[in-house]
Amino acid sequence: MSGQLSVLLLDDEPIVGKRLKPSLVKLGCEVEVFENPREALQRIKEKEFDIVVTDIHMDEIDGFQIMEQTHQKSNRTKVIVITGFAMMEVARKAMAKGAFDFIAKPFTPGDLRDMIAQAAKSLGMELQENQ
Amino acid sequence: LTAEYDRDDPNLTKRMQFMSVITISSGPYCRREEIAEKTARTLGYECIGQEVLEIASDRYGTARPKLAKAMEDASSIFSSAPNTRARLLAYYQAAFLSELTRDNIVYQGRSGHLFINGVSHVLKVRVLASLEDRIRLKMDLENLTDKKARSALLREAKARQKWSQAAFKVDESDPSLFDLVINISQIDPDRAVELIVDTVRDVKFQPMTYSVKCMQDAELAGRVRAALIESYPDIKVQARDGNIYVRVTGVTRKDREKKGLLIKEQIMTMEGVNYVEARVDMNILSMKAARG
Repeated sequence: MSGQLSVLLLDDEPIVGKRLKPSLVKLGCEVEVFENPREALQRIKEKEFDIVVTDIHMDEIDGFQIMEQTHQKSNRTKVIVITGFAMMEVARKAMAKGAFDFIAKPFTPGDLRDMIAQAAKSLGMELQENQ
Repeated sequence: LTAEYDRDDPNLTKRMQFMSVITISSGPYCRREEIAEKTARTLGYECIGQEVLEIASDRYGTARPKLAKAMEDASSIFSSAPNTRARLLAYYQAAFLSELTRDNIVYQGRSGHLFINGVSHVLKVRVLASLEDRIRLKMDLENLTDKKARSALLREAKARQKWSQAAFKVDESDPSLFDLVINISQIDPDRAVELIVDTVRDVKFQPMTYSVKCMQDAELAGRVRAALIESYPDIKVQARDGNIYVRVTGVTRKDREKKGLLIKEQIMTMEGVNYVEARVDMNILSMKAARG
């Protein structure tokens, strides 16, 4: 299946969105970046994204709640969890709650590409990388 | 999870090339080997155990009996110099971790679970059995009286506790060290195999990018530590994505500078190493000793 991958990226640290967005755009993704989890949740209710990339530890609403709401909207959406506080227990919990993948920050553009490519593959889609 | 993928496909993303790993540990006469082999057969995995000693022995040029003694015998831990003990355990750990990164592995041994921590796709299983069942099995297999079998098992349990306390500062049979504990005096071995297979198929134990990296980091740190421990017995190594952080101690400023350079030289060429940061801390105790 072809078509542009729609990605919602949520991290309350502005630098993360700033750094990751260009990499995702280069992978051919249509990206919406959020720093506020409430605003991200609102958008998730409105639109079915192919991929949601979310931080875990945020004020008020955490990544697990984002994942739950995302899957309530659509079980098709792949959720990739990124965190600066990675631990085995958190990783297992994220997987049990339906995360597609989990990675510790910081990570490389190559790691991001691998995860997005894999999510795309499992959606039956392909990356359309911009040169 | 991986059935739909060709895991040799070079285009496949890193995570999908990996599968879960199982360590099965137990005290003696708990039918651990039988359960591990059946589990491996059911999953199509390879079952390993004593082979790790062989690999460590070949790779680091240490006699296998010496390594085996260090792994099994508490008295060897106490009688050998602390540096020798740490070195032998480092060799074993490096070989063990390199085997685990080969993937599709069921490792069975008494203490494998102590050599790997924090990797979510490693399922740690403990198999136990009542003392009476173990005594019966030991009597049958070794043609012993009840009294002799009982005292041998109790003696061995104490020795193992001493060994793991000396080597890792934990009791190796502590249930909190495991993901799954099965009492085969209550659960048949065949059912135990089913439980292990069901558990490892749980999504919590599936590899993810983070856990694959943790495993690769542990393997690299183990390999670097094993390469350096003879020269730097107090070495501490951390690895992340090919970046190595080493800490050792030195006495004089000159000694510290020299050690830092030597360490970098020695490990920069190792496979998987991209960057090395060597921190040589002042060893205050050695300075005092040197001054008399």
